[in-house]
Amino acid sequence: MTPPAIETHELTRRFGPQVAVDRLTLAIAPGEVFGLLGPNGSGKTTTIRMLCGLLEPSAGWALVAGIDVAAAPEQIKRRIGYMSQRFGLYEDLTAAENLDFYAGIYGLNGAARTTRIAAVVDFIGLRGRLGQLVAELSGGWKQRLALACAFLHEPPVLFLDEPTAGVDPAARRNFWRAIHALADGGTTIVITTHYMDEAERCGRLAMLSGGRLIAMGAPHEVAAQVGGQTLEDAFILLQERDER
Amino acid sequence: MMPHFWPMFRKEFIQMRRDRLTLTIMIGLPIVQLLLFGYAIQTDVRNLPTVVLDESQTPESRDLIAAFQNTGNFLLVGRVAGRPALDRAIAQGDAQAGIIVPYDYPRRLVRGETATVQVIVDAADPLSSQAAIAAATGVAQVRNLRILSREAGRVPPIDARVRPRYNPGLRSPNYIVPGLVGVILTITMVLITAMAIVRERERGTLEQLIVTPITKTELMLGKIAPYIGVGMVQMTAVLLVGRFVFDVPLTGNVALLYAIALLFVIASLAFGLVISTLVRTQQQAMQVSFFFVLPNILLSGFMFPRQAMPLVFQWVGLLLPLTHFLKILRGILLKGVGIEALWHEVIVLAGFATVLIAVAVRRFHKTLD
Repeated sequence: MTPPAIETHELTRRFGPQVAVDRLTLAIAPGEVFGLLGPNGSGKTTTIRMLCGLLEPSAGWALVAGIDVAAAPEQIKRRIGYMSQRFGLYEDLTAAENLDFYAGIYGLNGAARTTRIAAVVDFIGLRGRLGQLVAELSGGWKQRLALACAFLHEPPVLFLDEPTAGVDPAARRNFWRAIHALADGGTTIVITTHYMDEAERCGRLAMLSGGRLIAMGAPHEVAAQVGGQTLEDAFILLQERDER
Repeated sequence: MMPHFWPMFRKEFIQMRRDRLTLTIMIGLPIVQLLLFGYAIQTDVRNLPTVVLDESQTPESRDLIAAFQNTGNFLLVGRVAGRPALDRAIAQGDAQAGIIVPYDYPRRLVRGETATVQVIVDAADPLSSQAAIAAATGVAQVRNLRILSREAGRVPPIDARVRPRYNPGLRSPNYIVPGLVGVILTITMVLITAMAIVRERERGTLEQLIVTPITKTELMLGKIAPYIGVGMVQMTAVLLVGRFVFDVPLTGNVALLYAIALLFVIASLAFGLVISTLVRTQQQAMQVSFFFVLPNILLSGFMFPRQAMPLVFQWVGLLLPLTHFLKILRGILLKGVGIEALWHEVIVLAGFATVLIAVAVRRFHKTLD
């Protein structure tokens, strides 16, 4: 059996007295599309940020691509791609300039850079938008560009934090087509989402509530574990419980 | 070595070039400041508005008043009839000086007694009154000397000949313009980079940037490098306007000046970076920068002589890179001295640059908390 792409054990993060992520233990296999699901404040983003080396865990440990996130956060950064919840590219640069910048930052140079950017642009379907300033792009194009910048360096693990928030359905479908193509190529994908139809597209899900793992498994299993007919039922049930 | 520096540099350069407004301000500001300082700020105060109370109304008194006018420091704006009117004119600000020639002035002069002339100066503003006070004393001294040597039948025994070197005309622009190069560089360089990192934080681009393998040093150096060029352009603009509009001499080795200015610019940019790591918003960055600019203008020796300051403030002044750079600027531009006279300041500037970059890198963390 191949070692997991991501493994956490009792991973915990506290902000002062508040526990944002509470003893989270999970293992994600290479090539999986793994969804983190849960109401706002359930700890999804904090989990992803710890796995990216952006936040230090308060307790427990996590291995990403075989590297301890607390011990070597800088080494993690070569092996992952990350799309933050808030759009994080430069609005005053063109799409091409953003791609060029991130390719350079990830150490792609000369002919390798040109070839790789061309390949990613074709894969995502960005040609025709390259010369446009990012500020002028619509939400859907921005998301595609952000995804392109996140996997330019062919990372084994890709973290996507609510990548499709505020994007129209057609763009979301395109986005997911790209996600599955990447996963088929062996990339491990961890994604958070609010959309139930998107959650259904994940191979496995982890349902979080109040920083704790409530249920984990294939989408229908998670629904059953929480106690709903569908995933949406389960989600609403959970949210009501949280608000009480 | 530093493989991620160039992409960062290129990105910052494109962003800088695209932000036309900021770029225009950065290049326009030095010119505007220079014209303001060069034309408006003159520390040699002349033509102080003056009222005269001439009680004696004789050729002797008129001769004396003319002597006061001829110094160029007193501009006659009116004659008053009595002491109360003179006091009122000064109190109301219609005049800043009053000359009182008493009725017995010519009589005492003829008798060989001491004839008193009163000069009242509004010294609320010490800078403008000083020149008038010196001029008034001078008028009396010259006349005394003339009268005494005529009576004694011999020439004055001692004559001190002062040669004001490096700025023989005692012109303000010669002193102000070189200083202004340093002040403008301080203001713009610190302000630009103080915003640099908080801006990325506020726009949300920092979070994306710090999940990449770029090192902290590469990030910092890549951010400041394009602005070194801006600093050099600013300096050139000020020097050219200074030379051709204000006739300020560029006496020494200008290439040497540029080489040293490079160190100063880097130190200033690095200081801005340190501010950037201390604050959370661009607004705070702006406030902290201005807080820093004030002591630079007051304590560096740009406007007020450091020798006149209490020792504590002279020490505080030494903590400002500008203080050392001003010595270099005036040394090279006015005195024409070379590195042999300035190496001490150069080492200090290099020290500032290194330490400030190290502090900025140390303070910055590639995490979100």
